[in-house]
Amino acid sequence: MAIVGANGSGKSTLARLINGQLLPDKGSVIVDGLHTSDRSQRSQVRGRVGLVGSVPDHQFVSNLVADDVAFGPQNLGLEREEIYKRVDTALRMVSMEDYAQYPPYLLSGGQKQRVCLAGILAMQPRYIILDEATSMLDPQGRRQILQILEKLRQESKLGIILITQDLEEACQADQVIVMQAGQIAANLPFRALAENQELLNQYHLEQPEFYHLVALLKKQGLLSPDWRGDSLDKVVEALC
Amino acid sequence: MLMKLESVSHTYQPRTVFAQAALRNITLSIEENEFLVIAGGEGSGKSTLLLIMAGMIKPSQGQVYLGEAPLPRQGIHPNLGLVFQHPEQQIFELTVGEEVAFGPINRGIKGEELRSAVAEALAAVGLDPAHYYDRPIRELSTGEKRRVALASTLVLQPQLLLMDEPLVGLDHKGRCQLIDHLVDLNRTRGITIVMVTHQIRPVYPHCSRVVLLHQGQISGIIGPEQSSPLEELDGSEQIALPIHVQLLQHLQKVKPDLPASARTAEEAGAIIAAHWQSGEGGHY
Repeated sequence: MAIVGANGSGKSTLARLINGQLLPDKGSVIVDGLHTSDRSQRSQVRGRVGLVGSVPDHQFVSNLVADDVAFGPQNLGLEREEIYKRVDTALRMVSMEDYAQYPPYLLSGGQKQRVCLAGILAMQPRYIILDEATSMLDPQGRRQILQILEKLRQESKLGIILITQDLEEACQADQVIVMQAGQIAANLPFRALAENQELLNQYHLEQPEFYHLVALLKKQGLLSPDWRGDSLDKVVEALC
Repeated sequence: MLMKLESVSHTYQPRTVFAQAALRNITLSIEENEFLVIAGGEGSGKSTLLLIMAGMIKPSQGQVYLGEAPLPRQGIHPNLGLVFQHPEQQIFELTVGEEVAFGPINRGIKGEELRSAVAEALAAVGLDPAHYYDRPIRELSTGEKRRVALASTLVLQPQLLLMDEPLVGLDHKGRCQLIDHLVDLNRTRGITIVMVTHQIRPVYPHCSRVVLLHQGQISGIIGPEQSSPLEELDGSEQIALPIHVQLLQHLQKVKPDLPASARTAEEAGAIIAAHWQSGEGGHY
């Protein structure tokens, strides 16, 4: 699931409510039958819902990458061997195994973000919320993270909530929720939103680049109005 | 020429197990009134290069010139303005006016001169001084805070503005507003801008050149006015060129006389339409 919306629309607040970091004034948040408002159930909710934020420097707690990733599993009370195993696996998942003994301050912004993700993956949560967590990554790094998560989603039924201002990132989501002024303004499939310029203007969202180009080419009469391709190669094929 | 980097290399933590070559043999000139974009993937050396240009890091090798003179080794030159990544986290005063006034106060400016300099800097980034001067910073949105940080730099009237990933974390509206103000500063006030970013799409229509960094080296320089074919540059997969440029590149393989780039998707669409309608295009 993807949650999109402008700055200040309530996306991050919603994420923190789901994770139990914030409690609702009214209503209730229930994760797998556990209520975040119930103090005895809250820590279980936090163990199930991992939250990765947008500023990695805010999330580091240790002087070495490996120790930082180990922090979560240690707090779950796991055996030492299990912790080592999880740290190793999580760092491999995000291709940061060569940096295990590095201090985080020597890493680039994107590398730091991957270490933060590894810290959450090492806790083996049921759900992961990525709150603008790929904003610092280059397109290749972003694709890599989304592929890792997609694999986890299929293999271990990990639930993913992707919070972003960039609708383009939401292309793999089953559903896209649009937040506006603290409310859910729409809930629809990616393509229905990406192709509808009027809706995008209404929600102050930028049209994904590909759909903008296709709309232009249709307007110019270079593609037929009912053309429905989904890649640049298909556009080239249709034009030539 | 405003700034020149000559054979600049930099290694972090030299002579330790963490030694990391961040930049290798960079030679680059920045012309006056340019809007230069430095792009590259994570760890390509973009931020290091910007900090070297600002004089915040002394390169391990090579020299940086501002005009004809070598860049001083200590502190930021008064002609340079640097806006860090996430500048809103560096704001330390309580109100917008106090924050923007901090730099000029430290240069001994006061009274009416100070007030008008702050008001002018706020207006330059689209923040109405009458409305914003006394506003507490905590009430502002991320985009507004970022513009306050930019105003705090502009108030010192830099000739060259260096910015590290200023678009990250901004929504579509905030991004458009910030870019509009930067373009205005560049065109009407003649401020030279160097922007480090991995988001080329929003700035591509306005920039003069894009310098592509890969593993600490310049792998190529491209630009919206480019007509010659774009080569396969190392690291280009990490930055995602605007999709209309990618389309032109693909079409150029079939039609070599098509330009390799266009500033906007609209421009690219018009070029393709004109080409296709003149009967030189494809079947459709």
